[in-house]
Amino acid sequence: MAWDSFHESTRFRKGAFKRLVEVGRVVFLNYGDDTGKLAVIVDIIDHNRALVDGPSTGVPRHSHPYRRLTLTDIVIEKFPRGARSPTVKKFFDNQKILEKWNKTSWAKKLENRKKRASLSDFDRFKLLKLKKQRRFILQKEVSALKAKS
Amino acid sequence: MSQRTRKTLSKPINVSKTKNFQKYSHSNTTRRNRKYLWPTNATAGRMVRTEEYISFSDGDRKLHEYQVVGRKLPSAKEKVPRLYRLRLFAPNEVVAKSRFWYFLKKLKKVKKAAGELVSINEIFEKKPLQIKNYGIWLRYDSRSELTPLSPAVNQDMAARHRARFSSIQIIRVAELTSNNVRRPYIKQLLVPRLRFPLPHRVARGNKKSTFLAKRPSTFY
Repeated sequence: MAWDSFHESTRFRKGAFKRLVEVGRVVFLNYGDDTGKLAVIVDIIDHNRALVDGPSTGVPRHSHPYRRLTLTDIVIEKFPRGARSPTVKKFFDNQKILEKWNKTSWAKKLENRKKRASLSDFDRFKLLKLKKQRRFILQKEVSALKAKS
Repeated sequence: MSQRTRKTLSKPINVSKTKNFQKYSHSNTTRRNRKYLWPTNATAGRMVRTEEYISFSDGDRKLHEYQVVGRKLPSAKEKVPRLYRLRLFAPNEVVAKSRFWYFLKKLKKVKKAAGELVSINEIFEKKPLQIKNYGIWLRYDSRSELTPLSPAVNQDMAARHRARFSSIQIIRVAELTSNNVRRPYIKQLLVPRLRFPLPHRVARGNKKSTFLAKRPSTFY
């Protein structure tokens, strides 16, 4: 299929694919110095790489291969192609991209993972205790309900 | 990846700093050598969407653009020899100097044994953080004959023609306007509001494990 028709096809528009490489797409970098940071696709270099920039998240403007990033669901609206860093920052901050990102379950999961990794042995013990308490309450309620019915 | 902090050369030749050449003013030099100037006005870089890749890739094997100035040794006959300047691509300065003599020998009656280098400096990309389309005109020594190509035929000379550095001569590198782009795979990228999916990907984390408990989801 010719690229243009693929590009314009309704099937494509409706979204067989949820996440697309496009200017303004917020990406999650998963390799290199900026691992775990968000950036925005400023321009598409070729089929393998994009120019990304993340002035709000401390990512320098650089070329990044698609295989070393993950596309997120977030797209910055009306993002101008090839925007320079200050403009990128403006769009990123005005549209509260970081807030949006932090609300996603993906970001929460990452946050949790980080928290768990930083726990000390005693912290893990406390967690175990708390979990036991929660389980105790829950199971008590469940058995009470079971007895009723 | 570190941010590139290269500076653009504002002056093409740094002649005044070179020994024995104080008498040449900068403008003088450029005027004298204009007709030998190679019409390359661009260099390779990461942000470049090159039509031809001749190991214009990241890493050590990247080609750099150099400006090399040299001349014949002054003699009683010719006290102020003419300066020659070439802009050429080479992996490093040493090779650049070598290529300089190689080309100059072919163009003019000057050779290394009776000549000297005046200056060599690298030419950097003016706007490395902007994406451009470059066309590279080159000629290369094919398996059967020497073929001048304009612009060259294939993406990766090494891959498609098994051409080595020694058999490739870059004639010209220039930024292209989008209507001058020839390769279909570059043309694809010139669509306004370009967007495309990345189908079937394995999301890689920082920790890569060969063995996983779960089959990864490749839907993207």
